[in-house]
Amino acid sequence: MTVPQPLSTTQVDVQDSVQTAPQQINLHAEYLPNIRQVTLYISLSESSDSRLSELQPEIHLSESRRAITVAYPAPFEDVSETIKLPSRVSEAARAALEKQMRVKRGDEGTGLDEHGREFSFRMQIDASEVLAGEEVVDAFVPWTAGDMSHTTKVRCRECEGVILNSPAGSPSDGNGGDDGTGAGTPGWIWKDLPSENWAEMMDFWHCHKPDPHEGDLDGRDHAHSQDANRAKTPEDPNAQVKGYGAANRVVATSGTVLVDVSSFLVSEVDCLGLKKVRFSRLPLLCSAWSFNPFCHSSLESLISDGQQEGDLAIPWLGHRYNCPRPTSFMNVSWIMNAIADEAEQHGCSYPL
Amino acid sequence: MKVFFQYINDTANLLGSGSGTATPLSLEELEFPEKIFNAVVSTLEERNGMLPIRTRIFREWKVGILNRFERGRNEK
Repeated sequence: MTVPQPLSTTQVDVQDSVQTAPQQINLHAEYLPNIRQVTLYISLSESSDSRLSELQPEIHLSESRRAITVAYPAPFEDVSETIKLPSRVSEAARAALEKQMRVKRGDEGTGLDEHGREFSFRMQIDASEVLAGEEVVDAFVPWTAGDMSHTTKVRCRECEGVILNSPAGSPSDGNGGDDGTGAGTPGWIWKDLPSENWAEMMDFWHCHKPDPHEGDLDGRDHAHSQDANRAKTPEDPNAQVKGYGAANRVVATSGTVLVDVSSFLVSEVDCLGLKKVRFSRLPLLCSAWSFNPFCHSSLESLISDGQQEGDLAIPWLGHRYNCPRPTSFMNVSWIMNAIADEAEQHGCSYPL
Repeated sequence: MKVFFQYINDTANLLGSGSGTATPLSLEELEFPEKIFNAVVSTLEERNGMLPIRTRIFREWKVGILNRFERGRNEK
């Protein structure tokens, strides 16, 4: 595997705890809930002012014990940095901090190298702090149907061309126009889809499936087989749609957008500016003519399995309009979902 | 979240997909869409450079940080 060049367009979120500006003091805190500890790293970069390099900064734990300020003594008191701690630390941490600092002062910096000096301090989390327990399943999924509104739009991440527009007659942007002027159009209906592996999982969950395929009944006289027979009749269009099992598909209907854990399943007629490429591994291209006629960025999809003719699965590389969630969340969510799916298939679970 | 990562040139050998070798049980393989792979690698490298120097490498691993969405915490 070769390592591709990083994309220049990647969005990076600067963490609160890390300062990238060319300052003399950089602070970084690592939160270790399992051992109820916070480790603080102080990096002092080499200063052009040699007087500063010889000075030792003061460490001050705030009254609330939720923040730490590191500052040089006068006349450099304007060189200082404050970090908000991920958790309230114990009162004992205050004394320990002072004691450790005195020891390190003797050492003159444990992590001394050509870039400057680095110190680290361990602090116990305050006993009164209740740490977050077990996480809600799928809490890492940034978008659910509940986050969407009737006028939510989806755009291409690259060119910002609109892929899924607000229904006709709705306000162009969500600037307060909530009870939109939609001329008779109710707007998009969003529905959540279960995990991508739900169909396969049905084999494990049910002794018999609610709507078996033809020929699957093999004479079993379960109480449900009557229902199954009814659903099987060709007049009932729900039989196909409702049927469980890998051979059956979820079908998108116009006006409804199904929200999967890493893609939106939409009816083709509802989409704008997309080009389908047949027999391609990456079958969906953005052809957003309205913004950039040459976009053609691939909304690459590895999830073409469950698709019906006429439905499009727009991966979350398509981006919700005016979305406060950065795209990096989507990438991480994609990975975590893929790991969870992989684990599910192997019958184990990883703490994510 | 803290992520340990390393670059492997010979994944086939690592995953034991050669004939006759057992697949290590502690390893899983995941295929990434190219865009997500590139974006994640560059984010990891960038974050690695932001960490204190002593914490950038842990044994044979490089250390990076990825922001994950947490319902309730990241929401406005």
